[in-house]
Amino acid sequence: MTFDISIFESQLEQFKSEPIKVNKDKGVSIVIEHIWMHSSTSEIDFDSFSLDDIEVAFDEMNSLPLHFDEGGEVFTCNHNNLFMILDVLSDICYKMTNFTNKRFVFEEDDLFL
Amino acid sequence: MQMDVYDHESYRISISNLMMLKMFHDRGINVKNFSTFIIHTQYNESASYEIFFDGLNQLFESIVHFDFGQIEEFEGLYGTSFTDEGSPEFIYCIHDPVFKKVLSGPHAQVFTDNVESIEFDEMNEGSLNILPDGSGIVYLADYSSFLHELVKGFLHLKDLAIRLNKQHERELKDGVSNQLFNRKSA
Repeated sequence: MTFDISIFESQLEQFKSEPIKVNKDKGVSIVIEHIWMHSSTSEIDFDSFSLDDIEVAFDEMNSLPLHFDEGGEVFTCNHNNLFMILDVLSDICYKMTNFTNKRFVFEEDDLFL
Repeated sequence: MQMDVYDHESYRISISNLMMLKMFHDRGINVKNFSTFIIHTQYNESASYEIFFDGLNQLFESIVHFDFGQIEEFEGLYGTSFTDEGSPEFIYCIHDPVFKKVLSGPHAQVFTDNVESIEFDEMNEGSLNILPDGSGIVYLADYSSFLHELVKGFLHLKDLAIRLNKQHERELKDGVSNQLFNRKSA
């Protein structure tokens, strides 16, 4: 059987990838990370984000509370909030790099009713 | 995940601090050695004021702070017109040659009106005025939480003073003309 390079090439077309686009929200992500990770001032590149990006982060922090408990001192965080998303993602990264056992096993006694 | 209101408020003030650092950075100040921006309301809030004063001291000739116990000292210098209806918790006096110049020039009233019309949001309860001796501006307040709003206001006034001073210089050179024909020379 001979190998037909032109058929191979045409078959590959469907898997062609787009060039990586720079996310226009990159500045916001950088700000969110600095805040949540408590970066020290000397570590921050202040040219990597704009003042508007910080305003977005400010609004995000303001909309973090989902609902308050009875005493009004503690609230549940909105899990769709950018700070929460970062928290979950960095938690996963930490576990992937630091746990030797990387297979998630659902323990029966983890089920809380 | 849960958070308590003290942590939440601390984060909000921390973000305000980050905004101050960014504003100062954009004005050409090297903020690398400024205080860390993260604070906690129950442990240590002083970083907010360190950033505030460190930055403003580099952008204005001087900023003098009077707290509640120093009201008499303030009145000795500037009279009692600001404090006769009650003493504020603290006072910031900002001096700069650009303010002196605009307040002694023909656009002093435009500048003064602008100063008095500035309103800060609900987290900063205070009033902004001109110092009676024309050396600068004064902010009298009972409560200030998000200092980045004050920095924004002070920088806006500095820019306005510089713009009005330039306009005056042009008028001295080209003459004051009817606004309709007032174009910059080619």
